[in-house]
Amino acid sequence: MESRAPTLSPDGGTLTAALFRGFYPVWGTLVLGVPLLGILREAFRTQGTSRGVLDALLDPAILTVAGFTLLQALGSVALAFLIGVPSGLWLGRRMAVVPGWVISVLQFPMGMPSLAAISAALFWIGRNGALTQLGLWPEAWLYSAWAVVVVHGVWNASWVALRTLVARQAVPRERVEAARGLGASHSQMLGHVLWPELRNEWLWTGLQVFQLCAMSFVVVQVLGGGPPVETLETAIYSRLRLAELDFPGAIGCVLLQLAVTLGPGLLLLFKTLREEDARAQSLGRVVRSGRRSDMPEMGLPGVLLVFALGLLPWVGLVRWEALQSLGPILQSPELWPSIRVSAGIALLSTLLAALQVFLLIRSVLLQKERERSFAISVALLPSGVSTLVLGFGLWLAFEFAFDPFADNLAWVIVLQSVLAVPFLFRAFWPLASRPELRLQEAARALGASRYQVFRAVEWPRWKPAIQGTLGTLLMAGTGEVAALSLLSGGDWTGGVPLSVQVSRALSQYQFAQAQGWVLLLLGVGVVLALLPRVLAGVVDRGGGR
Amino acid sequence: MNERELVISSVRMERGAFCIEADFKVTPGERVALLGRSGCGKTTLLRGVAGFEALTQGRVHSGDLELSALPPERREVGFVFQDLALFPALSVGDNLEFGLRVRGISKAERLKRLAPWVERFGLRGRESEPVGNLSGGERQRVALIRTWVTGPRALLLDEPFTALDPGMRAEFRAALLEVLADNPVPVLWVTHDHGELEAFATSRIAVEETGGGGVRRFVREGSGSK
Repeated sequence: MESRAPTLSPDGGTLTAALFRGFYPVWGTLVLGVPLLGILREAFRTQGTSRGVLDALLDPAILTVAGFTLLQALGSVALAFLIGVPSGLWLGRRMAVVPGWVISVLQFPMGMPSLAAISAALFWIGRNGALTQLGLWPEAWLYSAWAVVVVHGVWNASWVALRTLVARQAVPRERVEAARGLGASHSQMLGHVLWPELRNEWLWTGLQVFQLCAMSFVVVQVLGGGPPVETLETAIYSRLRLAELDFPGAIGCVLLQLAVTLGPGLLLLFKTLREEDARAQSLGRVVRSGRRSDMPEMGLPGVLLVFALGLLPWVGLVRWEALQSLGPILQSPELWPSIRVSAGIALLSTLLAALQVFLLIRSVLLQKERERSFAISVALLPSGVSTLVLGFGLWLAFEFAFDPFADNLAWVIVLQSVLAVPFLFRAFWPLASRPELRLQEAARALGASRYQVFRAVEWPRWKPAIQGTLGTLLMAGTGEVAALSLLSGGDWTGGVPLSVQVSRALSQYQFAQAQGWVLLLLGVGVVLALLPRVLAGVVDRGGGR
Repeated sequence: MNERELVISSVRMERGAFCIEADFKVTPGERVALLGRSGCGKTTLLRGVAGFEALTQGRVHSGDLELSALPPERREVGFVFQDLALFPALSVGDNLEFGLRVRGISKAERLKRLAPWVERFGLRGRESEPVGNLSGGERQRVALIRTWVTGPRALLLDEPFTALDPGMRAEFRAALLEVLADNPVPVLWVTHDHGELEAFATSRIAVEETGGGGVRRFVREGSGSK
C-alpha cells in the first residue's frame, strides 16, 4: 500500500523539473558560450588578413593598455581594502548584530550610477574641487590615473567594509572570546582567529572589486582625461565606435580583457567553490532591522564612520549649481521621455535578471550534487565579463538581429540583465540552497499553507537580500552608460536616456547642466531603489493570511 | 475505534540500507515513549506520522480520519521539535498565535484562546519580545502552547527535554502533564532519558532489529512504571 502523503522534497522527475534542470546549460550557451565563441571565430578569421588578432595581441600599444588596466585595478583594490578592511573590523568589534540601516548606508555606493560618481568626485578632486582648492589634491593629478584609482578605491571601500563586517559577524563569538580569554592581542586575533575565517570573503570581495575596476568604463573615460590613461575597456570602445572599425584590435583587447577579468575569477572559483558554497554568507543572515539598542553599541564614532564610508563621498551631488540647473531641466520637454526610458531600462533589466536568477537557482538545485559546482560557476561567470566584451560578442554572434548603431534598447536590457545575474545569484543562492526546512515543517505542522509557510519562515530571510540587491540594481541600472554607448545610434526617438543626457551635456562642456541631469538621474535611481522596500511593505502588511 | 486513537497500521518506511516497521495504537491519554539508540529511526517514524517523510507502505489514522492521505498542514497533529523551531523573525506573541492565525481565526479570538495559557505559563507581558530574548524553559513553553492551542488530535514530541537542565525538565514535564490533564490526547514521544521515562511515560515502544536486512521494528514493551 503506497502512502499518498506529500513530502517537502522537490520532485525531480517531472517534465517541468526536466525543463528547469536544462535551463542553466541553455542559458550559459546562449548568453555566454555563443558570444564568446563568436569572438574566437572572428579572431581566427582575422588571422588570414593583413592584421591578424595575433599582431594585435603583440601590439605594444595594446600590451601597455593591458598593463595599465592591471595596475589601476590592483591599485584600486589596494586602496579600497586599506580603507574598508580596518573600518569593517573596527565596526564588527563594536556591534553584536548589524542594524539594517548600516547595511543600507554601506551598500548605497554600490548602486551609485557611474556618472553620478564622477560628478561627486569632481566636487572633491575636479579643477575647482574642494580638495584641489585646499591644496590637498595636486594639480598634476587632475584627470589622471591617480584620479581614476582614488575614485575607484573610495567608491568600493564601503563595500569592502560591509563584506568584512558581515563576515566578521559570522565568526562564532565564543571563538573570539576564547582567544581573548587566552590573552590574544588584536593582531594575534586577526592572524589566528579572524584571518582563517575571513580569508575567503576577502578573496572574493577583492576579486569582485578588481573585476569592477578592470571593467570600469566611463570613470576612466572622463576622469582619466583621455590617452594615455586608457584601459582595455575604453580601448575596445574606441576601436569599435570611434574612428575606423578595428576588429582585430578590438578582439585583441577583448581577449586580454577576458584574461584579466575572467582568468583570476575562474581560478578562485574552482579553488574555493566548495567551501564557499558551504560557508556562503548572505546579508539576510546577520541583518537585524534597526533596534534602538544597537545605537549605543556602535557609539557616535561608529555612526560617523558608517556615514563617512557610505555617504560623505557623495555629498557633492547636491551642490547649489546642480540644484539651480534643475529648474530648466524640469521644464524641458525631454524630461519625462528621458525618465521613462531610463526607468524602463532599469526596471526591465532588473526584472529580467531576477527571472534568470530564479530559473538558474531552480536549475542548479535540481542538478546532481557533483554537477552543482559547475552549474554555479556558469551562473557566476558573467561577473568576469564586461559590458563591452559581452556586447561585442553578442554583436558577432547574433549579427542578424544585433545592430549596434540603432539605439537598440532591447539589447541594452538583455546586456544589463545578464551582467547583473552574478550579483543577484551570489545574494540569493545561500538562501535558496539552505531553506529553513525545520521551521517550514513546524509551520506546516501548525496548519500553515505553502504561502503562509513562505511568509513566516522564508520571507524574513529573503527580504533584506531582495530589498538590498534589487534596489542596488535598479539604482545602478538607471544610469547605465557602457551598454548605451555601445548600442547608441544617436537618435533616441523614444526619449534620450538620462545618462546620455549627462554625457551630452559633459561633451558640450555644460557642466552645471550635466550636474542637474545627474541629480535627476540620482533622484530617479533612489526612487526606483525604494520600490522593492515598498513592495516588501505590501507583502508584510499582507500578513500570514 | 476510539475517536482520537492514533493508529499506526503496517507502516513501513524504507530508508536506504535499513527500513522501519511499525504497527501499534496510542489511545488518548496514553503517553508512549519511543526508545532506541541514536539513528535507529525513532525521529523518522515520528516524522512519518506527521507527514514530513513519506511512508513506503501502511497508513496512519486518528480515529476514522486517515492522516496519511493528508498533507502535514491538514493532519492537525501537534509536533514539538527537538530544537523547538520557533520562528526567529516573529515575536513571542506572533509565534504563539501562528497556528490560530493561519486557520483564519480573528485576533480577538486568538488572544482570548491564548490568554489562559500565557497566564498559566508565566509569559504574560513577554508577547512583544523577540523569541531570542527568552530562556530555554520559556522557549519550550512557547513551543508547547503554540502547538497546543490549535487543538491537535495527537501530540508528537521529538526529545523535547534534551536541551533543558534538570530543574527545567521537571518544570516542563509538569507543564505538559497539566496541559494533557485538560484534554487527554495520544502522545508519542522520542526519548533517550530513563529518568524521563520513569516520570512521564505510561508505556513504551522499543526498536527490535530483525534479520540481516536492516529491518527495525517498533514493538510495544508493555506498561511502563507509571
